Amino acid sequence: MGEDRLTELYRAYGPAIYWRCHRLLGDRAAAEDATQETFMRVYRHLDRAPDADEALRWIFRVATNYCLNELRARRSRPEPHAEPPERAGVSPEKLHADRDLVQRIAGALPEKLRAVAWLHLVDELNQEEVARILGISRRTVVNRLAEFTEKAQKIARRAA
Amino acid sequence: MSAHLSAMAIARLLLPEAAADELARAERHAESCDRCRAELDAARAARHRFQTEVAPRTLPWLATRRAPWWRTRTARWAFGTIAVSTIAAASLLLLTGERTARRCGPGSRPCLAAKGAPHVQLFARQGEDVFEVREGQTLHPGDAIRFVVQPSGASHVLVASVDGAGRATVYHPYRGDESAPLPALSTVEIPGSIVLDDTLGPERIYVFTSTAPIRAQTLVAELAALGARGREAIRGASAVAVPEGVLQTSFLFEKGTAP
Repeated sequence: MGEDRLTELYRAYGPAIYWRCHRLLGDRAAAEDATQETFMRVYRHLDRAPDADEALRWIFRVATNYCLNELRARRSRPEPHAEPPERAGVSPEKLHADRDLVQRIAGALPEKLRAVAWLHLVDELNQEEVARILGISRRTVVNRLAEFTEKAQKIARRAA
Repeated sequence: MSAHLSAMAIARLLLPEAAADELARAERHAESCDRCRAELDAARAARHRFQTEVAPRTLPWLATRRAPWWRTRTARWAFGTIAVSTIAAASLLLLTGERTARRCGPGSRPCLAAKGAPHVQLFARQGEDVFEVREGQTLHPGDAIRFVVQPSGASHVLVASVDGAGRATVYHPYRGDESAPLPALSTVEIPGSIVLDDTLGPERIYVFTSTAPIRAQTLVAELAALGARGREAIRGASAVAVPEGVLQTSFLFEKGTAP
């Protein structure tokens, strides 16, 4: 791919990637780094995407996984492990409503659950869209959300 | 599902081809929804920051960078900092590519005996960021540096530098008298890292390899003589005179204050 095309794609999709990464990481320097990493992993897909939605799905898939892994790595460095939620009795409705809580719980769970939980509960994407972004079936999304809710409730009960 | 704008919907608005009616719909919704108003404003601020700060800074590098696999490996390295005095701390630079025999210095003495010069890679850490350094890049005092060498069959290595103050320092083996043995591997990660001191200006790292131990004194003297000629000489001297059988690679970077 020529440098001009790479530049064109970066300028076109860079803002969305950067916003996405900053939203997940909450840190400008980390977001900038994550933007470059994400772009280098998706630019070929962006070039071939038939429309903006398909391009964004790639961005969301790669940026979400990359940034959630970074968040998890941060948690395993000098700082203590992910804090358990302060509130007990976490219901699915409460999870849906409390994005901060989801973020903290998601940090303590396996990658396959984190991405599904984040996209659905924090980004408020429907199950079909989550499935398309992650390249899995809607059934799998449903199952993983159920597993996430169950594990989140266990974490909340342990903390209580 | 939700009465609010989804993350995908907001991301679509950041693309150049965002539809006018979609933008209008989002604005109408945001007029009566504080949460979405805040999200939209944050997204637009991020776009502005990307266009005015991030893109200008990262675009020149983007076209030349390698695949990101190296960074993932680098992030897993334990960046143990070895204890060095700030005066002695040296920064290493990254250089890839094979150098063939060439002339250098007064008297046209060969600098390289043959092909097969070492390949080196430098990785730097600035805060939480880890990245591969490229020639000419500006690093900052306090950055931590470590490197990976492909010795191309050599059994010994010595890494030294000359900095903007004209000081020549042996980095590996740290303050050693002669070159250190290398394991019989195609790629060797040199243990430990160096924290850059606060001497600003050019700094050139030299990696010398050989099939027998080499005394550091001769090479350090060459670097000190180079350093005495000033900063522009350091910037221009990609090689120095070396004994027979020694191969070398060098890399220049600049040390500047952090923005």
